Amino acid sequence: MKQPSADPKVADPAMGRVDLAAGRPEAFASLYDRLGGALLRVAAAMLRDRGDAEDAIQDLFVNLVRHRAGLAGVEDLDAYVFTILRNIVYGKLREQQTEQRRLREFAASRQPAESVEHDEQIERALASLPPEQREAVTLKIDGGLTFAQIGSVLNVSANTAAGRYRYAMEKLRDRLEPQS
Amino acid sequence: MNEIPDDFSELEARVAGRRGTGVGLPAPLRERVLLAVNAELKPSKSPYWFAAGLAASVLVGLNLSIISASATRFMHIEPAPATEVAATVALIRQVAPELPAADAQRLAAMEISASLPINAGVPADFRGLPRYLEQETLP
Repeated sequence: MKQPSADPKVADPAMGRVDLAAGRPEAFASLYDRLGGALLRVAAAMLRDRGDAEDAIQDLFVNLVRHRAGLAGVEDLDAYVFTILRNIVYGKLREQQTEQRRLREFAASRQPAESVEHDEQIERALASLPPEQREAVTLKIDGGLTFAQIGSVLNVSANTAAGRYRYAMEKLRDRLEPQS
Repeated sequence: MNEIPDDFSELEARVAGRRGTGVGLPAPLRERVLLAVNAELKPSKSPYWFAAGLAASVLVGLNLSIISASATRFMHIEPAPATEVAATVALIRQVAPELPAADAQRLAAMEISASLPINAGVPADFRGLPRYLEQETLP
């Protein structure tokens, strides 16, 4: 599991925020190189559509550029970026159908025909989780965020985020272990 | 708080390795995102720029048209045709035989060039024109 902030490309996150706020293109490129993979994984896991996920990433960076002035004062840039991404993803979900319906379809509706049974089991197990627990799993495993960051993204405490994650993983283990 | 008591590392690895979300970043996406970023960072032109440009063009056009109009001679005067001058001289000589030939020639040219019609209907006993011409020719 990747920890986005551990990337050596960004030596000083505060300096990165200043450069972002100043509108330096290389700062946004650096941010993309550091977080792009995790952001795309989270967006793809939530939207279940690769094209929509890529659109969400582009929308995210355009949003960051438009509101770059406020980036200098952001305490946890990674959590902030994932929060913006989450908002964009939910907007895209609302565009398609209602959020709950999309979340129910988390895995079942867009499984590629060639998916192996193992992946289908995981996707089905993920889809069976309550949305808030599934988000915690996605942000932790696909996004590589800490529980403090997940709490910031979900607007809950770090303990609550960890609790949701733990409950989710216990359910996943119960549902996956008999078949693995 | 990055760790929780339960060891889910194996399960985390299984979830992380599932299809669909475990793929890397496609190269075209980076280019697409950074193009969008650069486009957004470019100073945007205000919509008023177009109106300002249009207004400036209109003002320049108006100035040019005024300059052009002031430099144009709208009263287009053609040179008097020789045959018309001769006929007019003859007419003048008829109504004012005492008028010198050079004066009649000059008068005819002036009248025709100014496109002023000669009052050909002047009766033979009309004395106004000769008197006028006499006054004009006085030193």
